[in-house]
Amino acid sequence: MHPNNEQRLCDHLTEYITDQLNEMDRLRYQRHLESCASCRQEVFELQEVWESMPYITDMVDPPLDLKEQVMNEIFSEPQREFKPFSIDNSARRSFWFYSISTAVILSIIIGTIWNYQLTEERQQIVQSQMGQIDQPSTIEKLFPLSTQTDITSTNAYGVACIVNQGDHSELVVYVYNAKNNQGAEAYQVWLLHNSKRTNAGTFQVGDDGVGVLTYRMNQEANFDTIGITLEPDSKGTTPRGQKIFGNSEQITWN
Amino acid sequence: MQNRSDVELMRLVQQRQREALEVLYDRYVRLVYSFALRSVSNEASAREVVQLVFTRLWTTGASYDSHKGKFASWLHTITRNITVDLIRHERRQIDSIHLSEEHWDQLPDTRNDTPEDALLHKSESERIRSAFRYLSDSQRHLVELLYWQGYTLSEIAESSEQPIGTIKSRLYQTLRVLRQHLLIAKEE
Repeated sequence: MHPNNEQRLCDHLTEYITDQLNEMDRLRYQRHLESCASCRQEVFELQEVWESMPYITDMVDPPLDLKEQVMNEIFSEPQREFKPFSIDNSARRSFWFYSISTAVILSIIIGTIWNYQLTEERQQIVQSQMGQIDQPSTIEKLFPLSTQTDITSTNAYGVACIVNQGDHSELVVYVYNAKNNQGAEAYQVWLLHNSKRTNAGTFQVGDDGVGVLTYRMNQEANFDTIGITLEPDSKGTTPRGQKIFGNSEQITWN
Repeated sequence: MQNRSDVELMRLVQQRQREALEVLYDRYVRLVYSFALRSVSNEASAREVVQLVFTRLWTTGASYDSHKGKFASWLHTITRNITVDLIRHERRQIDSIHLSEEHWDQLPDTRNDTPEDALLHKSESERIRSAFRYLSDSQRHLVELLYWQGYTLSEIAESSEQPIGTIKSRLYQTLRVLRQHLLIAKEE
């Protein structure tokens, strides 16, 4: 990288300490730290100061009824996990819930992709790859997924997206509130284009109802329909189980 | 369960053991609540922060890595992120930015530390309070806006009609002063 660019990255010190960089710039700065001993030292010293700030608070006893309220909220309404604020207007609730959930999912996906990219780069430690981080991954298409059956929770939902990684594309699928698979069962992802079906792999769903799949795309990048079935095992080449999720629409991201 | 470490309790939380979450709640709720109240200055919002923090611990299976620091520091980070989100959300609803220096002295007036909290807090608290005495009013105000009120460097620059580089430089000097005096306090 050009020395001027490195100098510019040094200027991000205070934004990094105060957690005000966006995800991309934060990762850039972390890469910069690997080669800049001076910034590394500054971060070490100033982060310690920043993390001392909470200790200036006086300790205050919380209200006695708070624990019961918190626990009741958590254990009686498991679907509330992505609800960040109390919104009194119930008519707007589903819209907010959906919007914020999508934002959370997208941030997880983008973070996952970037982290994956960063890990790969670190492993290879090749100077020529320094430029890759300057070309951020971009989401090309987004497919909201809804449940197609009543065997899983009616709150089940998901998202699939195609992420352009520069030299190839990745399909990333997240599902939430899905029924956990039993024994050898597996969720399997199928891509359809012009009646041609492609197997995009399998994933598991645990007790928390969350499942994740990433799949490197080749020629299938033009698919227009995605389906997820619950299969008796992960070895099938054609769908045998029931369709659980599917997309009803496609959003072009750019 | 009461004697389990934070790391063990978080592992049990990931395995969906309610009792583990309740022990973590008992152990850290004062920390979370006190932090939130310092920022939001009203009980209803502080309660909401507590709700969101412990809901996040439970629902995300939270990714605490003991190699990256103390559990309390990690929990402070989560609490601050949630608190700042809440403050910004409420600020957008009010639709006005009011950067008052008066807020600086509005610390909660209830103080009732248990021995456990005192152990956790005392030395750190004394050190940072001691270091803060060496800051100017404007440096304290900057920390207040940035750390406790969740304003961004850009918002502070805009509001004070100063270049962002000036604000960043002031912040850097502020953190350096604190660092210097935290070290001195540690040696004493």
